[in-house]
Amino acid sequence: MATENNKNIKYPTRFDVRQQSKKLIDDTKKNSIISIIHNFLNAVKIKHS
Amino acid sequence: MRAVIIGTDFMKDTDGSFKTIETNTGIGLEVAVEKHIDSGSLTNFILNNNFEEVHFIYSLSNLLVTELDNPEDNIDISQPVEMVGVNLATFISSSVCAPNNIQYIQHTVDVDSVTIPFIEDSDNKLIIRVSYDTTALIDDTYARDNWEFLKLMYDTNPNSIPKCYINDEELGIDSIGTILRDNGNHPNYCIKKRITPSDNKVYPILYKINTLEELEQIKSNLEVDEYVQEYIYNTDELLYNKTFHYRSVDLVYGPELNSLNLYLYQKTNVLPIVESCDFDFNNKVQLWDRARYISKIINGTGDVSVKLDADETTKVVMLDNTIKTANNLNINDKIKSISGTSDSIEINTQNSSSLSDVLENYFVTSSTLITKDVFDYYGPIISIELDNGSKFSDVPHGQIFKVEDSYVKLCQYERLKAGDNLILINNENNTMETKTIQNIEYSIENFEAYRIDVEPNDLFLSMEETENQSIYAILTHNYDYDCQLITCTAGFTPYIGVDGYRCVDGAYGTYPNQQADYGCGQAQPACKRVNGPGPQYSPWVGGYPPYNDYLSCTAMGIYSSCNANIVQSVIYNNYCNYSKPSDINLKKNVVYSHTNSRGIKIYTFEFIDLFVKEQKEFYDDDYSGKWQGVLAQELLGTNYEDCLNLREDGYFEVNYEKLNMNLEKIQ
Repeated sequence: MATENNKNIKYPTRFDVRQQSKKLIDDTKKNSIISIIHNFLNAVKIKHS
Repeated sequence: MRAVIIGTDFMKDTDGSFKTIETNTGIGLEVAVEKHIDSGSLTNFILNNNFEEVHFIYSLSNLLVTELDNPEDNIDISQPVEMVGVNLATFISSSVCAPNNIQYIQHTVDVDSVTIPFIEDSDNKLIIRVSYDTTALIDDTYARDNWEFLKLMYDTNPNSIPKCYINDEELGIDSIGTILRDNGNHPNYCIKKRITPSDNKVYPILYKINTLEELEQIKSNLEVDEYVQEYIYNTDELLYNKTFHYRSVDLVYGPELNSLNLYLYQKTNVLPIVESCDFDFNNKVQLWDRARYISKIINGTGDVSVKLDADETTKVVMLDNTIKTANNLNINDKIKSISGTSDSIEINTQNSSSLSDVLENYFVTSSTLITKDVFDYYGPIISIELDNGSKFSDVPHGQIFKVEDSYVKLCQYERLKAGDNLILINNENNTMETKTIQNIEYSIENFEAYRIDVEPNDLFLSMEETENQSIYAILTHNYDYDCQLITCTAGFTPYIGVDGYRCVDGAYGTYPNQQADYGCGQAQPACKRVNGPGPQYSPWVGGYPPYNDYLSCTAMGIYSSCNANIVQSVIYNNYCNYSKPSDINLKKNVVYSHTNSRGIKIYTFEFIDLFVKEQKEFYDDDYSGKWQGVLAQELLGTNYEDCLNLREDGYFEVNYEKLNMNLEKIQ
């Protein structure tokens, strides 16, 4: 299937071609992210009020 | 109170800070909510605000739970991917509203809808919108337009977004600086579009920029709607050896734009990281390595209804034993094919498709190339190596034959696993042999591919791709088939699970865990040929269906004796091909019934008279009466698109097996 413009790189397992998800349980990371979202929403509110 | 659910994406930079990439509305609530959500805070929010009604506005695509398997789950890859889990709507309805006597009302909109139905607001209502609304500020300004979002965030805190260069008088940002980002062997900058295109093949363009001059050149050559952004790569941030992003799903409510975090998760890209990816002469990441760095799933032809049969290098065996690559095939070419000794027109070993019967009854014959359509394919390719050294490859839905429990079964490449025995033809002496898969590999490729149809036999032979050896051909079934092999693990007792789909139906491949999964009766391997002319079967009147009735089916294709009870779908109208006509244009009196746990809308309907008449005349299939199933068109644009097949007559059919459902006759 490889063509001249197409280097045929192989991956050994099925799982390598799936996206995976995992719950974020780190509170520090959570707080950082939620803080940015609050800042975003606050900025929207200020700009459009 | 009105509320909208937003999904905001983040990367964690090497300095420990989180950088927001974009925010989205109309998002797919793809995770199994019960695994992620803090149900207490959502329940408290609803109770504390004294809501008596919760309205939930969504489209089908919003609610598909497609949370993918973690490697630790040890999923059997030969089995269909399960897409199960409780979506947010079901969760709010059953776990939040119902226990607290709060009325739950859902409102569905079309998948491609950009507006929502009007629902009058009041203090006792919580109106949650998931679907996109072009008249809403967050949707139309900050989710749709990356520049608006980035500028707002930059002005709030420059460190909250990746370094950017946007050349615009009003929304311009230039925080790229003069120190190049060092991501080692990985891309360090990308070009994006102001409005993110749905096609992931080109954007974002990923670069490994080595000098400031190169960076300046890229900045100066931007198109008017492009911008440059540093690409955040952090070796501390790998999950299953893949890069990932964080997604925060938040309920934004009320005029003050307050928010309640529903859940936060990490989502990987498709492919794992390698030490050094490939770049072209302009230092762009090559096509086949893009999936390591971007999150969107590769999309084949971009048209789910297109099922491919060959690519430009597929070596098809002609009737005279010469080889033609698929790109050189012409309409009316005579190709080598395989059939059986019965009066059917494909392999048909009368009452059995046991390997021994197939071996005894097959013969070499010819087919003619009827159609050949050309497509550009960009997506995964599965390559297999057999124990004799033969190598073959195909798109994931490519269909070949494997031997399982002494039966010959049709199998898609994506469900193959090491140790499977495949049917090959020795092209020198036409003997049929089985060889064992030693190794399976995957790649992302871009090539010209073809949808071909060969008739009257749907089988053709693809020669091995081994460079110095060309003896074996793999028996391949063109995808636009009018027959199908079904293996049922005949659970005996009709059962409708709590989620609404039947445990017993024609199953492609086997479902060894069917009993455990669906509460079926004793599972027994059984295999049969379906979808074709045959006698009417005795109706199921309770208890076990009559034995072996379907053996008199003279349909095309491989089938076998069934030494267990037949599946219910056979009882229904002598038709259990798992691809069923479900085009909205073939139906009348369509009435919405309910939405199942995976967000798929179920309807009752009748088939139009002309279709019923034709099916009866040509196939002796009875499509009269009232049925229950999905509308094929509603799966377009959803994660279930892959369950669609576009028939030659232009109508969609739905692979109900892949959808884990049945097309059921209910009256």
